[in-house]
Amino acid sequence: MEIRARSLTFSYPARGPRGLLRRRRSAVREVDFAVAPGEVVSLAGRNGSGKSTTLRLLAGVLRPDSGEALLDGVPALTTAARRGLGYVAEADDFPGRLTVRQILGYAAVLAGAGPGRARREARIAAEATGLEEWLETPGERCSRGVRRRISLAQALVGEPTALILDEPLTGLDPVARGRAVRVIREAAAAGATIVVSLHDGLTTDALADRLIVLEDGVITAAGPLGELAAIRDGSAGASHNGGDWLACVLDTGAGPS
Amino acid sequence: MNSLRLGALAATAAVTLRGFFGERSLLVALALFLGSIGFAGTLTDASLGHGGRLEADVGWVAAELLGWFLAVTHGAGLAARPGVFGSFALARPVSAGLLLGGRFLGIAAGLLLYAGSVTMVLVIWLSAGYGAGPAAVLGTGWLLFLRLLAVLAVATLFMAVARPAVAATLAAAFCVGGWFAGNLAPELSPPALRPLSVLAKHLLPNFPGLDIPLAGLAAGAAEAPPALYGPTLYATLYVGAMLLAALAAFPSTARRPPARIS
Repeated sequence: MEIRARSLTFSYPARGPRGLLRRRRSAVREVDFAVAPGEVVSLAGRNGSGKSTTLRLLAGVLRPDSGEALLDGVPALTTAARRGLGYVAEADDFPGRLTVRQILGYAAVLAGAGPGRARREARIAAEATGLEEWLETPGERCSRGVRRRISLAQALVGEPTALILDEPLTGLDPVARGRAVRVIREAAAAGATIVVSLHDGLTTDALADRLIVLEDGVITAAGPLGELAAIRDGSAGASHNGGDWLACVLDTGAGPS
Repeated sequence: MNSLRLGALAATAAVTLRGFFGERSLLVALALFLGSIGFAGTLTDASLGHGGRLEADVGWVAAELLGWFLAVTHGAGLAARPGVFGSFALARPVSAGLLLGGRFLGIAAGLLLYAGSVTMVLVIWLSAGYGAGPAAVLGTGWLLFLRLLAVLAVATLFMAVARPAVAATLAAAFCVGGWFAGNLAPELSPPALRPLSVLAKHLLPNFPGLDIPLAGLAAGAAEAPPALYGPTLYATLYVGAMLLAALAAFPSTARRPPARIS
C-alpha cells in the first residue's frame, strides 16, 4: 500500500494569552512525500516539530485543514482506505480495562476479522511482540514498556500492508526493543509500507531506508540514509552530540532534499 | 461485509459495557439505591409510612436520580477512560458512526442491567414483604429504563458535538428542561411564549409521558404490557431521532483535535 502526503496542512485550536481568544496554531504546513510498499521511512525532528500530527493525519485520525493523506490513492479519512492499516499512537489509548488478549481480539474484529480469526490473529500478534505471558492481564495494569508492546501488537493484527508507528520503541527494554525492530523489519520485508517516528540514530540506522526531517511543521531535509551519512561523517557537530548522527542532523537542520 | 460490521458493532458495545462495569459506578449506584431503601425502611419503622410504599417511593426516586447520573456521565464521556473513540479505533476500517452506535448500545445495556437490578430488588422487597403485584413493579422498572435511555440519547447527541464537561452540562439541562416542559400545561404559558413551549415540548424529552404511577399499572402480568406500549413507542422514536442527529454530527467532530476519549 502506498502512503502519500499531498500538501498536508493542519493547525490546532489554541487559546489566546488570556484564555479567551481562540486562534489556530500551525502544526504541519504543505507536507509532501510518498512511501512505496516495502519501504521504511523515518520521520525525525525535535519535539513539537509536527511528526505526530503528520502521522495522525496519515492514519486518518485527524482531518487535515487542506491537502490530503492518501493510502493507495484513497483518502485516509474513508473507511475503505484504512483496511490493512496498522497505527501506533504516541500515547497508548487502547481500552485499558480489557485484558491484553481482549484488546488484541477487539483490534482484530475492528480490522474486519470474524471471532475465530480474531482469536488466531491476537495470538500471532502477541507471540510476535513477546506478550504471551501478559495475555490475561488488563492492559492498564501493565508496565509502560508492556503497554507500548500492546500498542505495537494491536497494529500488527490482521497482517497490515501499511504501518504508521509513532515512537513505537519508547520505554522498551533492550530485548523488547530488538524484538520490535526485528518485527518491523520483517513486516517491511513482507511488503508492508512503514512510516515511523524515531528519536535515536542507532534505531533509525537499523530500521529506516529513508529519513524525513521536520522542523516547525515543514520538511527541511529528506533523503536516503546513505546520503545523510555524509553529515554524520563530515560534521564536527557529531562529536558535540555524543556521536549521535541523528541529533547532528536535527542540529544542523540540513541534508539532501 | 455486513456481518463484519455487525461484529465490530457488537464488539464495541461489549467493550463499552466492560468499561461501564469497570468504572464501578454501577456498583456504587446500586449500593446507594439499597442504602436509600434501608433509610426509608427506618422511617417506616418509625411509623412514618405503611405497606412498603415509602421504601418503594424513596427507592424509585434514588434509582431515578442515580440512573440519570450514570446516563449523563457515561453518555457524555465524562466517566470513561480512553476507549472506543481513541485513535486505537479511529484508525481502523470502521466508521465513527459505528463506534458511536456500539458505544450507545454498550451503555444502554449497562443501564438496562442497572434498571433491572433495581427493579428486581423492589419486586422481591414488595412482593415478599407486602404482597404487591410484581407485574406493576416490572412495568415501573421498564419505564425507568426508557427514561434513562432518553437521557443517554440526549447525552450522546451532546457528546457528538461538544467536549465531555460541556456535553454533560447541556444534557442535564436539556433533560431537566424536558421534565419541566412536560409538566407545564400549555394554557398556562403566556401567548407570546406558546410557540416556544410547543417547540420545547417536541424537542425536549417528555419524561412525564414516560411515567405512569405504580397504581396506574395493572398488577396482573397479562394486563401490564398494553399500558407500556405508548411510552415504549415514544421512547423508541425519540431515542432514534436523537441518535440519528448524533450520527450525522459525529463523523466530522470525531476527527477533530484533541482526540476524543470515551
